[in-house]
Amino acid sequence: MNIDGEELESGVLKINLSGRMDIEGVQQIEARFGELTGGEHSGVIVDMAEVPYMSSIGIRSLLINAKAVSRRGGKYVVLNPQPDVKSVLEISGIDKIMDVCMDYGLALGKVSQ
Amino acid sequence: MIRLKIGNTHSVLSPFLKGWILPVGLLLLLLFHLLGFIPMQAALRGFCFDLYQMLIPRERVSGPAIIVDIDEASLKQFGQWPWPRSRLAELIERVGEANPAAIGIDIIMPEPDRVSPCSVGTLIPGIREGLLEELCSLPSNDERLAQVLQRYPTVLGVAGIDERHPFSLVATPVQIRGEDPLPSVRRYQGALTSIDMLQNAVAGHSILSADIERGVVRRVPMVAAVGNQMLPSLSLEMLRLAIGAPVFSVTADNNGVIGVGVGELDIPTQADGSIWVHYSEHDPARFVSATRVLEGDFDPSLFERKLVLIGFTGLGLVDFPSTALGERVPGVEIHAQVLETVFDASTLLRPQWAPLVEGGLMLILGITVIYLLPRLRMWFQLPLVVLLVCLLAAAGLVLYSRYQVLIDIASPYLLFAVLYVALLADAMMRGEGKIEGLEEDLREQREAALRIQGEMEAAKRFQMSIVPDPGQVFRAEPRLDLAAMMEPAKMVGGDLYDCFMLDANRVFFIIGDVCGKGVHAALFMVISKTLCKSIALRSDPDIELGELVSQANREIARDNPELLFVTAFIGILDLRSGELIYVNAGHEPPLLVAPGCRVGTLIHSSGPPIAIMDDYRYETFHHRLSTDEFLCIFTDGITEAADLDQALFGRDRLERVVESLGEEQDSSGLMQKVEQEVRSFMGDADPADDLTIMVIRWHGVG
Repeated sequence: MNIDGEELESGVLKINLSGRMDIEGVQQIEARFGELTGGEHSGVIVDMAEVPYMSSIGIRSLLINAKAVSRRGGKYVVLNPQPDVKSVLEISGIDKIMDVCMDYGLALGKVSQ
Repeated sequence: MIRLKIGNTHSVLSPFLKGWILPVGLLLLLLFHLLGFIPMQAALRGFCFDLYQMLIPRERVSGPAIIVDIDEASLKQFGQWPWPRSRLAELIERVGEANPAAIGIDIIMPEPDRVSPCSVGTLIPGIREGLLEELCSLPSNDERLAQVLQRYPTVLGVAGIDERHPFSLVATPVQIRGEDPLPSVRRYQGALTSIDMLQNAVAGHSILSADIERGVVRRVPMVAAVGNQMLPSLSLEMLRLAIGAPVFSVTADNNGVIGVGVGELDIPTQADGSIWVHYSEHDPARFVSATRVLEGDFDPSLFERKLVLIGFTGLGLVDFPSTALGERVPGVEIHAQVLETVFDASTLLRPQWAPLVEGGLMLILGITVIYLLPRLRMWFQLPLVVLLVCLLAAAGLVLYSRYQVLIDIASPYLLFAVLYVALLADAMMRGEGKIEGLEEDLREQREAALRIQGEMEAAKRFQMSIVPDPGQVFRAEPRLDLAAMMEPAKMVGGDLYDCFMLDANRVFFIIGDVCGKGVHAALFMVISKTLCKSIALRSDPDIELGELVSQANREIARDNPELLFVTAFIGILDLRSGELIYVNAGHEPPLLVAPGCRVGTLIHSSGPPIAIMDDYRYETFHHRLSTDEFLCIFTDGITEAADLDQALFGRDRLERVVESLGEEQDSSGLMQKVEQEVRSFMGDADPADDLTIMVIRWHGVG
């Protein structure tokens, strides 16, 4: 898996994930993921457009980072998950506790509030 | 963890910087070298100098010495040795007439001639008295020889012997320069001399002895002593006569003899007054047969102003020692060679400072081996070693051939070899130790792995034992047909199921899947399952299922620093009515299957997986089961089972499998069919996730 952070205006960080988010994939990115979300950004957008598969360990990774952001009062949005990943988010009920947006403008609006 | 460095191109030799044994050993060797304590070093040195001479033998430039050779042909012609001294006198006379510079006689005549006329006469029985008197009035052979010897510049020699032996010695006066050389030179206790008559007749007196080292004459003394009397060598004494000097000189300092000389001529020597013989190859041109001399068959200019040696080569008369070149030559030729080297100023010298230079070379090589080589890469070591060896050899050879200086390079080589072998041996022993260490590590790791394997098997047995066998639990319950299975992908898994009677009419069941796999998932599974059951059993029977799950969620989430979570489908089935109430905490929606019907799904989701949000209120949903419906609950180990090509089994395939269910099938049959299909789909691929299935059917009241 690959991960990179992209600074947007007004303290928003966009994190781009790519690759299969299974045990091996998460191991590759989790340290960097934690570093990025551990910054001072008021809003974090996690772009999942390039993630074709996500297992429960991937959910855990998203959740851990969401908690880290919300603990300091920040906003956390998952952007553009592919259909399979989106259905995993729905089945697991994660979409009930985490914002999932299919539109960039909408996502930016949510984290910039 | 084992870390094997493979493809290490660095030296296998390890630096000895930390060790002190080798540097100390090196210094000790150096000390021994300077003191001359190293065993076999003299032999090694002799071999080294022999090698120089074999590689570049001396060239015979001028031929100052001629050997009149009493050879096999002479013995055949004039009879066996000893010849009558009159014959020898005749031979010397012939030579003497040709005006040689000196005549050296390499023959010792310790007894009077037994074939003098008088002696022979007394042996004839019944000899006439007058004839005997007449014979005895003739000069004896010895007198005749003495007369001849007196007439020409002749030199006789004595042999030094190491036992007390009465002797009378006539000697040449010696002039000593500097310190007393007597303690330094080779000293014999006694001497074998020729009879006085002959000794008194000659002008030169010499000592003929040379020590032979294992059959090789490498050094010959230019001066030696018998008792307290110093004598020059045959060659030196001949040179003295040739020059016409009245005395020979010996120069010495505190370290011993520096040189010998006659007249203007100075010959540097070793401290014991010897010189290293600088050999050229055996040359028949040095020899002229005594037969030819006696028969007058020679050119008188052959001996004109030459140093003439008279000696034997006839077999059985003399030993043939080896030269440094490995040739066996008669001893008299060695005298000739010494004369040639003195004449051509090509005498060899091993200077007093030679051991210091050798010690310096040993030090340099030693330091190279101990400190430099181990730090070099392997491919660089060999060329360096070859270069050093060649440089050393070249230096030794150049010093020998250009400056006639003998420096021993064999000793540094030996030290080099000894140190190198020591280093290699050390490296090998270290390597072996390392391998043993690695083997030990490996064995320990295997044992540890086996121990862990054992622990894991115990953990698996424990984990499998805490999930119930539905057949046992609901043995006496005809209204329910419940089957369940769980198969961890690894030794222990993160899936769980449970089922028990909550009271006489209600069945509680749960299927869960902890995120991740392995031991931490298994521990979390045990906590989750235990807390759920405990809360279910001790809660108010009328509590809403959602509230019960919310309570369990709070308890499980409380101590969860690792942020693990478990997706779960939890249900309570009322066996009186088939009423199912359920909570789906982020789990795969279960399937509803009835023969002849399309597969349905319990789609409702109550909320996120358990342990994520500790204050989440889970929603409860209802469904009324009909008696021909199967509720099929599973974990993603089923839908995400992958074959070797990473294709997933998938929910659609699962639905098709359960759809083809026959009328007579029971829960257990349906479950086994699903399991079989999943396994045959995976083929030889290793299961990536735990497989857990639970199938429930309500049989109704009647």
